[in-house]
Amino acid sequence: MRPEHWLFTIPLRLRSLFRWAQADQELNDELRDHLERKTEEYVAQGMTQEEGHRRARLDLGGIEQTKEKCRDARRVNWIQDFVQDLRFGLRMLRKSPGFAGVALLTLSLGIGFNTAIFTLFNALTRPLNVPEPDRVVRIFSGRLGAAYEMSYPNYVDLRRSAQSFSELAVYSFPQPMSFGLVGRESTAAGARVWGTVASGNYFTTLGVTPAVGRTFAPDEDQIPGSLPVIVISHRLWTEKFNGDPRVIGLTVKLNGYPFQVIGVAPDRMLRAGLLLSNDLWVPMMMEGEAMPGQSFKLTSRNETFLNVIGRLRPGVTLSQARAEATTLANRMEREYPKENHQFGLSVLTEREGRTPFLPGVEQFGWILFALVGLVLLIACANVAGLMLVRALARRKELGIRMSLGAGRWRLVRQLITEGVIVSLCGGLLGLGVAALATDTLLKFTPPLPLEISLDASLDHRVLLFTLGASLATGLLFSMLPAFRSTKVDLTGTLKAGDVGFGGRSRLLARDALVVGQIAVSLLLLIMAGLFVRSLGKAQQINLGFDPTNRLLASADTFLARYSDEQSREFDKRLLEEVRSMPGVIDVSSTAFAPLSGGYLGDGHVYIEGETPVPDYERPKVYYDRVGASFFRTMGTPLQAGRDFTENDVYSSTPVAVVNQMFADSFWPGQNPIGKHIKLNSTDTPWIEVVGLVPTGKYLSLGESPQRHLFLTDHSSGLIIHTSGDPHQYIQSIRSVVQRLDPNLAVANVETMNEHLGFAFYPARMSASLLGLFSMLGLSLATLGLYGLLAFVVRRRTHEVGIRIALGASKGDVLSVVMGQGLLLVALGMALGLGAAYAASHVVGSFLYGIGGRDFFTFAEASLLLAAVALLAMYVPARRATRVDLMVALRYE
Amino acid sequence: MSKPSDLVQGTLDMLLLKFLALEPMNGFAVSQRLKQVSGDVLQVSDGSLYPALHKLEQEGWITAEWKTSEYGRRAKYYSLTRLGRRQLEKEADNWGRLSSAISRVIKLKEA
Repeated sequence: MRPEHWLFTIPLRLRSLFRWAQADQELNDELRDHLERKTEEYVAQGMTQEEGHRRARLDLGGIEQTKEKCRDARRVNWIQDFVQDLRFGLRMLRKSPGFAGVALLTLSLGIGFNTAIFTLFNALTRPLNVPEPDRVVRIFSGRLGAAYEMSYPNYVDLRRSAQSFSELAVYSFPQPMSFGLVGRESTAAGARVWGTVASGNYFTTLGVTPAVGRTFAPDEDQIPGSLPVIVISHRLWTEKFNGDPRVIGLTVKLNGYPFQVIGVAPDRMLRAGLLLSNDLWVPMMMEGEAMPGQSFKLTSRNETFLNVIGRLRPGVTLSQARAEATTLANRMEREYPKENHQFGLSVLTEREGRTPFLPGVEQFGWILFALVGLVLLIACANVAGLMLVRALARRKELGIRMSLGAGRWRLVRQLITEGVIVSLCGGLLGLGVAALATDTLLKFTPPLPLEISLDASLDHRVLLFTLGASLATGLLFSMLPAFRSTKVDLTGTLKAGDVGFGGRSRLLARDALVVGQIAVSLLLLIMAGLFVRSLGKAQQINLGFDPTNRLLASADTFLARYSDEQSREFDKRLLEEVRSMPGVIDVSSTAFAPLSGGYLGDGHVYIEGETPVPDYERPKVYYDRVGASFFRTMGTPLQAGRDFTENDVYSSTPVAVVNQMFADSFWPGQNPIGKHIKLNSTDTPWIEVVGLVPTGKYLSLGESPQRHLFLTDHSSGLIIHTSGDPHQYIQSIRSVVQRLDPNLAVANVETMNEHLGFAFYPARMSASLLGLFSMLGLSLATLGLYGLLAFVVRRRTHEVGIRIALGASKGDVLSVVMGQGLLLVALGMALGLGAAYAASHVVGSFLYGIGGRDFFTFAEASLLLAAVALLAMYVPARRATRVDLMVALRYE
Repeated sequence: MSKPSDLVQGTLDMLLLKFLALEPMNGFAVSQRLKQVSGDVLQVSDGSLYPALHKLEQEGWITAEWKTSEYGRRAKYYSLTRLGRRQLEKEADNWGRLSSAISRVIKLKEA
């Protein structure tokens, strides 16, 4: 039908649907008018008024009947047709519960997993829950797409000069703080919360209004240390204060310093797309009070710790803002050439600005999406296959309906409606599957001390996606069978009954399905294989230390406002106490356990005897500060030199242990022991290298070999080598700390293997997720393949019978029947291998220890799939050779 | 109640479209015109006429409008749409082909 036609008829039909009362009134008027005129005519011919009226009514053949016929003519046909199709479709589905069940199961899994992944994607990409979220931008320092945080002085300069933004605010990454109520100091140590330092205009920039109380006033952010106020998160408010509004005005202690609660942030603020949740906000000027010993951060241009968000001034475009930022960055570099060396400013939309913190997440998300998309495709192919089979069984019905005058389009529509019913029901069930799957997926969040706040609730975008996916799926899998099966030769169909090869084109359609399914399954299987193998490799990575039977625990002395002298004394006693505990083999300390995803520090290295170069051209190295006998405790073998001693930690003669990579890059071919280096500044004393250890992993498992430097310092971050299960020592360590200082809490207690969960997280998560999806895909595909191949073979029962009757051996028959299938399988596998080869460079960067084109994985996956396909063909083929000859021949 | 089955299926539509192509008119006028033009050959009862008109309107081939007639009386006037004109041409063509084919068959000489 032409669209033009719809233009006219749709309003009319809608009117008949919704304005039936008016339409009916008009019909009345029209017929009354007719009767009047007719009566007048009869009267003019000489009849009486009464007689004329009677005749006129007779002519009309009963007013009510005519009216009804007129209403009939107006009835809204396509809606009626649709309702009819719907009812017929449901009836047909009820009649074949087997088909409906398998199709629904397949589709609900396919659609459900897609919805689950979309839900997560949606949660990650949802706009901020603030007014005009698209005007919010993030500004990073760093050139050419590099995204670094900013120092406070640079922020102040930027804020003063930039014209493109109506507001510019900053906030820090959440920091651990002890949190206690005033007057309850005696109740052990305060709870640990995560606090953020934010500029006074932080809340006004975002445009959020507090749930209770108020947020910072801009003038609360002028004089350092002047106004100790905090805004607490909605979650902290409900969990710690039971949502009591009297919390406003209450004084709480953060790291021992009293702060007054002035407001509660709105509920959804946590989920505003800033993934890491925090419990409270402290004004920037109170940074020194909230974080003891860090007040220098406000004055140092080198301390980059702030995230910058801003709002574009009305009328200013993103590119204008970017242009201004470039100009400003150049000026800021000229003004402070030393600190702002190679300074750049990049302005990103808030949405773009999320990805620097989620390296690879977006790309990995797309890979996941692609894979679940493939699973859905397989599901589609399965149902399409089922529909083809069913359509063949229904050929007689369709033939009869066509010969009775049903148009082909009408039948196609009927079949597609049936398909869409199935897919919509599948989608509905899929929502349930998605809810379960999303919950499970969220349990895969990385083991971080902070809570990740991801609002993975169903919203209209998710529902629309599911609806769209269901409709598209339904159309996809019913289109082909619908058109194929209504293209029938009527006389042939009615005559031949149920038998026949169904025409070349249907055969092709089925073959294409088989080939496609094999290809997609192989692709999925290879991807899963790669990630599982990569996990295996990751677990074999040489970490540079032995994680078994090592326990981590720390007491945050700085949170209790210990002086340097106090914490030094405390750490020393703590280590002595723990060392004397029965079952403890060794104990040492480090502020940062390896593979935490962070590091203690990095710095420029000066090598004794080198030619001097400017600081920014100096090599940077990562360093840790660790305690005595650190390497023995960690199980790291020393290749040369010695371990740190107690004396190294507490004396003023600095010593260092370097790793092999460090030695190789600064003193190639020489013995590093006895060499001297300086860190960060030429004014410091020379540090003597006393030991050499093999290169391990420090930041992440996937890192390339890194130069690493170990220096000494005391710390209350314990590493304990225990005999037997480390868990059984936790209680005694707690009591040791309690004995030393009842106000201190033991935090971060975990075994080294638990700790490594974070480092292994990407590998484990991708392996389990992709493994799951691929297994799902493979089982669906196997089901579908078995069905299709079994059907293909069964259709040839008659032919097999003839062949056997003519003397063919079972082997011959088997090879004939399977030959065709094998060809399809081979073709599909070739396609699948090609696709996997093409996809391998995308996933390559997510793999550990193997390339994206790992030969073994490709071979293993191919063999497995070939075996599954062979089995799927062999069973029905074998059955075909066993057919009773007479049954086969009499088949018709 | 006589049905338009006297007419070959679909021809009533064509006739109505044709009348309305000549000039817009109301239902009563259409029934008068049918009688005038075809004499008593085409028996179309008023009871069939109105449903047929409504169907044509529903298809978008004709539109209806309430107007005041020459006698100062409000009546529903039907007129042809652009789509209706196209439909009429199509049906007239079909009719031409069909009738000439049938008359060729009828004129076949018996052996």
